[in-house]
Amino acid sequence: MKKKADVWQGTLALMILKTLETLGSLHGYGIARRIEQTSEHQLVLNYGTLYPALLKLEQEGYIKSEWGVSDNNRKAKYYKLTRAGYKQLEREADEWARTTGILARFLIKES
Amino acid sequence: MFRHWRAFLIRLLNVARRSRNERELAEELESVLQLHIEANMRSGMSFEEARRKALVKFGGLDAAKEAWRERRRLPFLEVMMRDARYAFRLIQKNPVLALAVVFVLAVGIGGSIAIFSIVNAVLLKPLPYPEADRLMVLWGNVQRAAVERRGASMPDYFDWRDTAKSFDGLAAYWSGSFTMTGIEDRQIVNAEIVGSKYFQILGIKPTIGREFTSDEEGLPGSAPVVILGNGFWRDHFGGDPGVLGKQVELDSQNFTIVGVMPPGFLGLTDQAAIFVPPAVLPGAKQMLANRGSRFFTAIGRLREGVTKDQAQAEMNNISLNLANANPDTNDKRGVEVAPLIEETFGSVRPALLALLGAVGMVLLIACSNVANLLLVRTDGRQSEIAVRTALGAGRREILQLLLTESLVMSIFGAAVGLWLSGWAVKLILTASPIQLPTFVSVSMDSRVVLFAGVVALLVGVFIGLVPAFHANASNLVDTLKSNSSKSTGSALRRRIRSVLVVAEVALTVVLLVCAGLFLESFRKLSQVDAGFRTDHLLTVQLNAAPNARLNTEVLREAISGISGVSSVALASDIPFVGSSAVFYTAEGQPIADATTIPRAYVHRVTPGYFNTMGIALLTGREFETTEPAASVIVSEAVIKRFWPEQDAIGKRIKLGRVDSTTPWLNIVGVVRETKMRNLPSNPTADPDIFFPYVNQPTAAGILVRTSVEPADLSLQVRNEIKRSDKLAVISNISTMDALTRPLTARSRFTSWLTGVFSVIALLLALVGIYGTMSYTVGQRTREIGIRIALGAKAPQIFGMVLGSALVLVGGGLIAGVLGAVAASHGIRDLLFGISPLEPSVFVLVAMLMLTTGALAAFLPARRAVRIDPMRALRDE
Repeated sequence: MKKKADVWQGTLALMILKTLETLGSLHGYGIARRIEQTSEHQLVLNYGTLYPALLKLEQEGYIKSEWGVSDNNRKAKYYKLTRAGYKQLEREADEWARTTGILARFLIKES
Repeated sequence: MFRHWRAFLIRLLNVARRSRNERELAEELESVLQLHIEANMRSGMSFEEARRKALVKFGGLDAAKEAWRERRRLPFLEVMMRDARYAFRLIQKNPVLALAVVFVLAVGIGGSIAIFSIVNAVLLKPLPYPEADRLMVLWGNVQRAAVERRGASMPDYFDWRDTAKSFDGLAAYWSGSFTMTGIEDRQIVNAEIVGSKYFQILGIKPTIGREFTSDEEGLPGSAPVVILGNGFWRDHFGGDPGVLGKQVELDSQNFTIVGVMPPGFLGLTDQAAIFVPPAVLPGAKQMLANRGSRFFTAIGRLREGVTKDQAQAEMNNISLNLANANPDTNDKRGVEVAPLIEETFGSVRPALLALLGAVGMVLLIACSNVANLLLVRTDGRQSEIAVRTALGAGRREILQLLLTESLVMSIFGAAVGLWLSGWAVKLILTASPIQLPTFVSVSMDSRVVLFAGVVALLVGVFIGLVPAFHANASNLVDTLKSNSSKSTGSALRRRIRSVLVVAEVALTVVLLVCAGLFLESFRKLSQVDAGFRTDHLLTVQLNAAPNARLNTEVLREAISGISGVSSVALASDIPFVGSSAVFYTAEGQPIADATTIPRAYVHRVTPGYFNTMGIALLTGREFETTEPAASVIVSEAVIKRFWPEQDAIGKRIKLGRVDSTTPWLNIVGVVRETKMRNLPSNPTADPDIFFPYVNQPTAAGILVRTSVEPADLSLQVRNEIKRSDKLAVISNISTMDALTRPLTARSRFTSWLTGVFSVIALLLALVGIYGTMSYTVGQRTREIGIRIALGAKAPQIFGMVLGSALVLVGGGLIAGVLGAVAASHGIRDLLFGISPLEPSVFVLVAMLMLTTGALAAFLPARRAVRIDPMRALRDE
């Protein structure tokens, strides 16, 4: 149980970091929509999952938040990457590429 | 890793700053909701539709908030803190119970910590040398009836040193003493005579100056040099850093100071103030060449990667080669390679481990007792727990609640125990007859604190699980319905309590048996007949001034004049301090080889020696004032071996082997065997032979038989010696009893500590049985009332309660005896003169335990008898 959740948490964190790298500063709604769009709606992200993940990243110092105003003049909290966040993204992305690479090679050979 | 800690810290801080950002969260989620709704409406939905879709997306607004909150703080910790606060409130409500619990736990945990911190200091810390596990002591040994440790001679040692490849280096070392001369107040200085690589092997460098050279180790007549211990340097040279090259006068000879050792280093003998190399000693030339003169051990450092067994195998080979090359001196001679740590702590380890086991049992008993106490409280809380369960608390929450409560108490107990253990350690170490090496310092280091923490945790879980198990097993509906703790689950509760009491009794029995065996061993050990009277005997170690001799007759006369002295004698050695062995030959003896060649310990003694010592003269006479040099007195084993059933007087022996040219000696007296070299038995079964003084000695032991307390005369004896010989130096004055005490130290130490532990255990068991029986009687008030109403007589009721108590004790006794059989087997090496299954000890313990059980059940039984049937029935 816990193992699965961890993997999900880990990949979600990576997606959030990547999203923030691509789009700069963004609010929670924007992050959720962007992740869903990028995954071509194969992922459905619920705020009960997203918000704890954002909080965790903030507690770990990878992202920071501040209040801002959205395009349509609504007050919203904006998240953006910290320097540690950029580094972490680079590390995690490499790690992920390597893992999937290894796994892919396995799956090809097996079939 | 660091990031995890950062997050954890923030969450921890948020626990303290509760609910501040609650509003901010609401605002943020609200803004996201609005953004979502607007986006939905832009895609053409109605407001209601858009809002509904958006809310679905949240998976419930409150659930999202809850998930966020959980991440924000540490919910587990918060619940625990809430439970802990609740536990504190409960403690305030019932402080007596809490105090009792904390006190019992503090005794159990404190005792464990105390013994553990000693074990930690002695057994868990390495010796104070780098890579100390590679240090080996090399013993020269000889195959006789058994393999005996003897020592090495210089030529043997040089051969070992030069041929052995298993070691990075070997160094001889032995203890010696010098008289510091050339100063007003002459004094004896303890020294170590050490090989040149000694310091390098131990890994301890002089803080200033150099180590010894190989010439100073092996070239006779080398210029005398000395390395000072730090204490000696500070006492005599005020810590002067320019001390190198200065002189110290030892035995009237000038030694040049070449080095100073760091503080705390007293050598392997643990008492050296100075260090001197062998070749600078007077008489070094003979010593360095005499292969048969064996008297010291060597220290070696195993080469990296070489095991002890490999080294032993190599030394066996070397010994064999030496024996072939020198059959006269080295036949049946070998080498034993023994780890230094074993030599240092091998003898105290089993005693300490036994004590750790004992104190662990006390702790278990204390825990059972506390669990029993807490059960009473859980009983009173059945309704509370039932209500909590009814309100939705799951097993986990109840368990966490109860565990938090017990942990609060066990942590309190451990804190008080930690504080108590400081006192206990001081008490044990000052009262302890065991002399620990000076480098051992028992202190509260991180390992002890960690131990305390782990024990507190385990104890907390244990004493919490018992009531929790019980609470879990109770039936919710019944409890709520009856709203009375008396009618439900009492059978189960009684069973849990019974199991706890049986366990307590069993553990107590194990402890009592071990303590009984130790006490009995100690009694046997103190009653060992040494063959001479150890009481009322004062001993003095006296050295003549350099190049002078003592006058034995003048000294005897001077000391006998003191009132309270009944007789005085001088001897070359004082019992247990050390004498040396020689080979001898009995006239007409059968041919002997190295394993059977007659060997005896030699002593020179003045007239009156046997009388003063209280050694029984079997035949013949003591030495007289004008004794021919060819006279000898032997102990009876010599006669039994060579001239059984014959008149011993006039038989002859000589020193050395059959072919030796020393003169024949006439036996003029035969005395009883003594245990002068060690108690409870001599290290080897060799007899003793005694010669008269031919020349006056340079050093001697004075034995003073007194009719009064011997220690009271030590000042007068000292003054008389000073008056008759101004320049002689007294190195030690001590009573014989004080000299024998260290020989029984370990036995005394284990027996009194296990004694204390088992008394504590017995008291705890008494309380435990009493508590359980009181509880049972309370539970059965109604039943007993009915019995009385139906005509049961007082003795029957009394017997019933007593009987059920004795059933519990009996059960514990059986389990305990089984446990004790196993435990006594484990400690059999620590016992003396007694079988580990000594029936009298077991019987005594059983009787003591049954009496204790009866005693504990007495009050509850009396209360049962006095139950008023009318009241009992009405109350229900």
